[in-house]
Amino acid sequence: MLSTPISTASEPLLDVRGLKTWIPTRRGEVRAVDGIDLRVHAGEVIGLVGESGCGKTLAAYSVLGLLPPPARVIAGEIRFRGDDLCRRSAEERRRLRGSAMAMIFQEPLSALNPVFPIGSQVGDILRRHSTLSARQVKVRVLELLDHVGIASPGHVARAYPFQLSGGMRQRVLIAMAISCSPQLLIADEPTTALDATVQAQILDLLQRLVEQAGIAMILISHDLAVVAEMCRRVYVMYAGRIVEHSEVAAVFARPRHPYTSALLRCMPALKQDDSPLETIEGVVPALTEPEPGCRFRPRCRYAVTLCSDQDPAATELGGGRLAACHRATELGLPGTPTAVGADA
Amino acid sequence: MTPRPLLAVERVATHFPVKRGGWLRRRVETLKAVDGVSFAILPGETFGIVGESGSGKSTLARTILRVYRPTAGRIRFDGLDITELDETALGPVRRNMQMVFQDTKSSLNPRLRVEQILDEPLVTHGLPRGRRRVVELLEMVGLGDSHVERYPHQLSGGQRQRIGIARVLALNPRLIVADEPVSALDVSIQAQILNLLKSLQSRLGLTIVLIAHDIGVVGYFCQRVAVMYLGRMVEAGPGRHVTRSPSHPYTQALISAIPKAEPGVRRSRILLTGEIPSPINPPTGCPFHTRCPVKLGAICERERPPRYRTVDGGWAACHALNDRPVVAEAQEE
Ligand SMILES: Nc1ncnc2c1ncn2[C@@H]1O[C@H](COP(=O)(O)OP(=O)(O)OP(=O)(O)O)[C@@H](O)[C@H]1O
Ligand SMILES: Nc1ncnc2c1ncn2[C@@H]1O[C@H](COP(=O)(O)OP(=O)(O)OP(=O)(O)O)[C@@H](O)[C@H]1O
Ligand code: SF4
Ligand SMILES: [Mg+2]
Ligand SMILES: [Mg+2]
Repeated sequence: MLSTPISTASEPLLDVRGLKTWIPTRRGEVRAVDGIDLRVHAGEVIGLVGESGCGKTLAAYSVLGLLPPPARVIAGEIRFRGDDLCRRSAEERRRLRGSAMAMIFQEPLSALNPVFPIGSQVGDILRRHSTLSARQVKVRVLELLDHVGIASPGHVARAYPFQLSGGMRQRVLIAMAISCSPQLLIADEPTTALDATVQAQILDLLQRLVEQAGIAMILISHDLAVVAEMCRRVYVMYAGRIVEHSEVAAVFARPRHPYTSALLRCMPALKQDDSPLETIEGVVPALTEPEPGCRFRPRCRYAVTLCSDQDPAATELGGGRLAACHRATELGLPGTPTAVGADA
Repeated sequence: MTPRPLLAVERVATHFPVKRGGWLRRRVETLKAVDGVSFAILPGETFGIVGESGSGKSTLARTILRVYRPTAGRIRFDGLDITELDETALGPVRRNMQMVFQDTKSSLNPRLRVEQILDEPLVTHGLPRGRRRVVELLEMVGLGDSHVERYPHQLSGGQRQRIGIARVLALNPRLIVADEPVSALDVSIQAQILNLLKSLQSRLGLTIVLIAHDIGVVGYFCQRVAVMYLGRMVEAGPGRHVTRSPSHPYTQALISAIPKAEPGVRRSRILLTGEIPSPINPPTGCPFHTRCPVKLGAICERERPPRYRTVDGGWAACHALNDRPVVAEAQEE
């Protein structure tokens, strides 16, 4: 099932190249996203993982044109259906959002307006992006709520956000995101705030929806296990950069970047015995003035002199695999003990 | 003979009065945050409590430490009944049972330097003080004297959690209750803190109660694990057994819900419908019957299931296990 090569012949739906999103602050520029490449094909579900603060959300906001000032894109291209979005006006990008691309935000409560009932908020999007009559909008709202597994759509449409549980709110946000049949959906930590049993429901729902409608999805998460379950390919981000890209199975079985390897091995859920967990000593570096060399070097147990001198470029490792590590081809890094049947 | 438990909790319930309704028909209802929980922990044991949000884990922790006074039941610490003790009598007991919190931002005083933070409990309990003791404590949690002068905001989340642990160690407690000590931290930092707690536990012979909603964390860390649902314990037993081959339908669903990090493997999940009911009007009988995929019928709606034996001293409270021996009758208070 996972054996098809990563590179797909057709042109990608989304093609991000050399994207830099920086934020000017009194202490200098925060290089939150610092030169990333990322591709998504039509109907494909990909993962974007990395620790808190590595730039996942800002990368997503850059694609959607939702950056909160003073954050701004200072370099790179964001091609959507072949068209560079950075050259489009704010108005054109607004029209694109909600119709061709949509986002499910990290904080479900703040993404909903507390003073309007759910039904009117879902209806708003439909009114803005379609030519449906008022009556048709009402009918469609109920259909959408039903579609995302809400048991009593009529009741929920009249409810206010605070009256809904976290899981219900997330369903509503998913309904809003798919209301205009987007081609690309960015889901930013869609289940992080939810309980395990509710998370399972929401992941199932997302999977069903994108499969049925052929929507491409970027699933942002800090949880590699969630990504393993949902995605075929994954981009691993560290301190504003993509450090590894590959098919998920290959990353788990044979990671090529020391950061990915360490990340996999510090997860308690994957532990088979009582031996101490692998740790990554130290902390994520400040993104204002990165030191020369590899950004992971201060925490890397495999670092050599070259790593402090030179910033490693992303190296092509065959089959579409990429790793930004000087030693990517030479190290045999350990993956997870449970991953099976994967071939790097 | 089995050794005396360090902590014994018997049929403990903690209820809160909550006001409901508008100004015309205001009424007070009872929220049963913890509702008849029993367990015992031996000295040196690591005991894990898992459960989803609102299941009553933090309330249980605060009740054990007598921050709350239980509505019913008894709590014994090292044989001493502390259920009804007043603050003065609790003083010496408090030193021996300490809590590590999830939120290090609000649990450490932002205006104090690390040195003062660690000095504070020593003063309160009249223990030997001084810079050497502070540095010694910092070293125990893997920090150095370079951190002595810092304020909490100058530390990372993981470092702040280390300070939180050092502050607790300052008192040489016998029991540490850690309420979600790693859930606010990145995975890489979580591992550092879990390893630290584990090494302290074996070095100092500490007894630790670890509370988490992440069953992976608890299963890795704890010798014994209990699962909570709506204020009650539904299953308990050896950590590995509960997390690998659970007996209660809720534990089974909880574990099947967790992504297993096996790429390409589409697992068949036990998908529960709906969410946890309100603890204000919890379901009668088995608290899980409204969502249970194997519910037997009227008995689950009406009767609290007794604890049936599983393995190695473990049990699960589910009527579907009624072919097994009963460990304890259903606990109605
Ligand atoms: N307005 C701002 N001013 C300064 N720095 C900022 C601002 N907004 C974001 N940052 C920084 O940019 C970096 C990237 O932030 P981003 O929200 O994209 O991270 P993330 O990967 O989504 O993290 P998380 O997993 O916590 O959501 C962070 O280090 C953050 O501190
Ligand atoms: N002081 C209080 N007054 C009233 N209700 C309370 C109080 N403290 C907790 N509760 C309620 O008791 C129930 C159990 O809460 P508790 O905080 O113990 O759960 P928890 O398992 O720790 O959840 P979480 O994983 O979200 O921390 C919840 O419904 C909560 O709203
Ligand atoms: S007692 Fe009944 S409802 Fe409760 S878990 Fe067992 S089978 Fe399900
Ligand atoms: Mg984010
Ligand atoms: Mg809690």
